[in-house]
Amino acid sequence: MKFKSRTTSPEASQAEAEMLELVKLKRLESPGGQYFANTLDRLHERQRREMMQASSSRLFLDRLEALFQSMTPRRWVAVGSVAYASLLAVGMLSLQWSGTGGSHSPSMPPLAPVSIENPQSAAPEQGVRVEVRHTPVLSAKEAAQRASVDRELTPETPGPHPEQEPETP
Amino acid sequence: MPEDYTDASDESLVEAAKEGRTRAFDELFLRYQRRIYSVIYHMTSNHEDADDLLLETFAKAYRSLKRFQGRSRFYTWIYAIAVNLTLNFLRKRKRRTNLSLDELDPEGLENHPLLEDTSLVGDTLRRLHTYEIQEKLNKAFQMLSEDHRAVAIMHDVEAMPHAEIASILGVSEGTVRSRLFYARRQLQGILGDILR
Repeated sequence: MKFKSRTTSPEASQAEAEMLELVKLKRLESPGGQYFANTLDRLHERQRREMMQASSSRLFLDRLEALFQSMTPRRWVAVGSVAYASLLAVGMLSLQWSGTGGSHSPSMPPLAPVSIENPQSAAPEQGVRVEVRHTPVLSAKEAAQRASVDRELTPETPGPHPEQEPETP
Repeated sequence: MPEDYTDASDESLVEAAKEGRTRAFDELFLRYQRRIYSVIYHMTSNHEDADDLLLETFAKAYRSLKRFQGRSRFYTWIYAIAVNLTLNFLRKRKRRTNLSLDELDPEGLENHPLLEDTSLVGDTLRRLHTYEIQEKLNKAFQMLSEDHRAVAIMHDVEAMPHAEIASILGVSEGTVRSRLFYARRQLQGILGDILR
């Protein structure tokens, strides 16, 4: 897109020209004569300092970057092929691993998981039998009642009378 | 015997520096440090800041040299690094504090040939102390926005063509011309009292 030129009066043009002359004086501003004498040494010092301060991770990234930049297309193809083969190998191994049910030997059939809520979930053909016995917890009163009922129901067995003295030989 | 790169082209120096020959990069630094310092100084109006940004510019250029593809000239590339670093610095400084006049560089225009000139500018130079003119010029530039200042410095002080400025700033030539127009108009208003 062409920039549209702005029309100005001759006075304005002269004022602008004078201003531009004044602005050009800035070209003459420069640091002292000796300033540029040691800038190169200070640049080297700064680069050394930066290198010393660079973290190990930064250095690693720099090396990685340099490595990638040195890679030719042939090397990329070779690296890509190795990576693909490795991924394929890992995938096959993991498939085989999950197919055998973890750390068991291939000759053992896998065991089905057993659920406590549903003991029948264990595969019956594998001969696994799970019994869950529920033992109710009784309070002291209930226990006493049950004991008295048990005593009534069970036949009396002869035993020593509490007041009878034991026989002495 | 150290290699002599004095007559080498920029392109060959860049290639040599990319291969790790630090002397080649040193030659590029010696070749362009004054011009890079100049643009940074005019944008910041402060010698210490310009000094720091000059070294930072070349240190960054050295780190990024491998990414330089040679699509533009080395000078344009490093100039763009300098201008962008300076613009970022100025934006941060603006947030932190306003520029104090005490920070302005006291270096003068002592023996300028315009002192012998009979024009209005020559008369202005004779009337005012050079330090005063310099201070007013710097103050006027600091009153422009960073983007307008960058364009005015590059075009009116550094005499760079519009196309190169556009390439450095990553904007269109029309944008450069528009910014230059508004920057000049503002400068005229600010510097009007010096000229009359």
